[in-house]
Amino acid sequence: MIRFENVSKIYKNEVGALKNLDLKVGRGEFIFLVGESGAGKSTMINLLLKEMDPTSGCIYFDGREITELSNRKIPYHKRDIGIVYQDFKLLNHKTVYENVAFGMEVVGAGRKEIQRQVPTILSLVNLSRKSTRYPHELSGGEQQRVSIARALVNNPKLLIADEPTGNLDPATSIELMEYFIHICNKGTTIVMSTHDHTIVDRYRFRVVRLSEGELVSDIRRRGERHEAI
Amino acid sequence: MKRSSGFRQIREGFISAWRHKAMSVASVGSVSVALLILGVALLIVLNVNAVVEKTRENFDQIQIYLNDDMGYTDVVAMGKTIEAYPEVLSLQFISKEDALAEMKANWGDQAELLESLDTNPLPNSYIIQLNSIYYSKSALLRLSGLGGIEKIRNYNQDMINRLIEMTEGLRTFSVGLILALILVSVFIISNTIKLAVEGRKDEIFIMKSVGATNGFIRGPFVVEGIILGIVGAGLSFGVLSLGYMNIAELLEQAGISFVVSYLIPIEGIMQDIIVLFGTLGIGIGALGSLSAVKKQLGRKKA
Ligand SMILES: Nc1ncnc2c1ncn2[C@@H]1O[C@H](COP(=O)(O)OP(=O)(O)O)[C@@H](O)[C@H]1O
Ligand SMILES: [Mg+2]
Repeated sequence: MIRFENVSKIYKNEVGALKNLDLKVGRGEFIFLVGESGAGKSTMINLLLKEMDPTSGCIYFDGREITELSNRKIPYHKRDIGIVYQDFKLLNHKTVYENVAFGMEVVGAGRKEIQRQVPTILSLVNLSRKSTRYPHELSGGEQQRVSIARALVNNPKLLIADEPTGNLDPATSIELMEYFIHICNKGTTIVMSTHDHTIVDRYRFRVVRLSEGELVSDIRRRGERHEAI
Repeated sequence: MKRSSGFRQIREGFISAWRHKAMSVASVGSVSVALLILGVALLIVLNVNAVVEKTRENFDQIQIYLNDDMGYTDVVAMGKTIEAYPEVLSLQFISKEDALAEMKANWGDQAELLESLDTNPLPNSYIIQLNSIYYSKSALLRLSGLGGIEKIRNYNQDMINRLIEMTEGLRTFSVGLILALILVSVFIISNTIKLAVEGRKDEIFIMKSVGATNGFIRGPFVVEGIILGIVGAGLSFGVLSLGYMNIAELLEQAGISFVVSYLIPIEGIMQDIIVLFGTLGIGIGALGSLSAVKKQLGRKKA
């Protein structure tokens, strides 16, 4: 599903944010991406979204080498990847339903398709009853579920969550995790960057640890343990 | 894109323009001032050209260049013949030598270049002053029956020269001014659209992250810019055509009503001006809005 081959990223200010990264993520996997602030997690995510190009190395997504993608194809690449941010990024003047529908409208989905898909996704994140509410009328956990619904509404193959529980209390974080696990069990690959030890320790998913741009450990806790090369 | 979303983009363009009324008014104003000045300059140039064309048929001075192999006596005889024509008021002979001397005088510093000539390449000529421009046709007819003429040139010297000079001055002056004004218009529209873009930054961010195409994201902003451009163009066209329709009256009041007969009729040019203004309005609007959204559409800075 995802393959990083000897990927390095050096920013213009000469910060080496990623160094010779090799990583494979299989279809349907759930991985935690951990490491202190500045370790290179967001850089990895931005490379995967093709928001930027690596300085060297190759990145494959779903069988395509995305470093080769032309600018015109980038939007279509992004439709295969749902993304959830720490700060939700909801539109305050739109209702829950409208926020989710917006994700479909702007990629040119038809009205009928939207009317069918949005309620399905809202029930998946258990927000059917709040579809006419505005973001400020919701709790943090509910807002994050709206943003998950929007990320999923176009049926992406991969869901990326960049510190999704960063603004949430522990109980809400764990509740939110249950939704992510449910989504993963339905077949979506999930990459979640996080600082949250309690969550990482609580779930026995694979943990990829970065430190100063290097992959320092890659632990599959259901099976064997891989040390970085 | 589906029909409904096309309508939606146009509607949103209007709504957004309304939201930033002051900037929208400034945008429309700058476009219409630029196009109005363009229109006035264009009408003057077109009309002066038309006058020049017409006066070319009404000249009062003819210069005939004589063949070099014509002997002195033949030249004198020819002068006598021409002087006797009823259309001719006066006649002036300019010899090759006179012509060269005049040329040297005109060339000033560069006259030395002429010193190296072995032979004088200039012909003898007569300048014929006619009684009136109304005789020009019959005079030409008579002259064309004479032998020994190399070339005939006719003038309404003063008028033509003055008009051409005037339009050329106007042309260079107005081209510069109009280009500057168009740039200013693009800039003002760009700033108006930037406000709209700023107000919808969050939406743009989400559109990009879910994979909306750049074209889709640009759509409403380009529509808004084009609306501003077209409204500006429409306004200036309205003012211009209203002014031109009343120009005859104004000229009569100014005591120069004879010019009116030279004016190009409004039906003849306004269609071209509509097309020109429409194109420029759309172009200015699109350019302004494209430059405004460009920054938002780029990828992350690395
Ligand atoms: N756009 C950028 N330009 C320059 N340096 C950057 C940029 N983005 C991140 N960095 C640097 O790259 C390193 C990795 O950052 P990042 O990938 O954001 O880490 P993380 O998400 O793990 O906190 C940091 O040292 C950061 O300062
Ligand atoms: Mg980060």
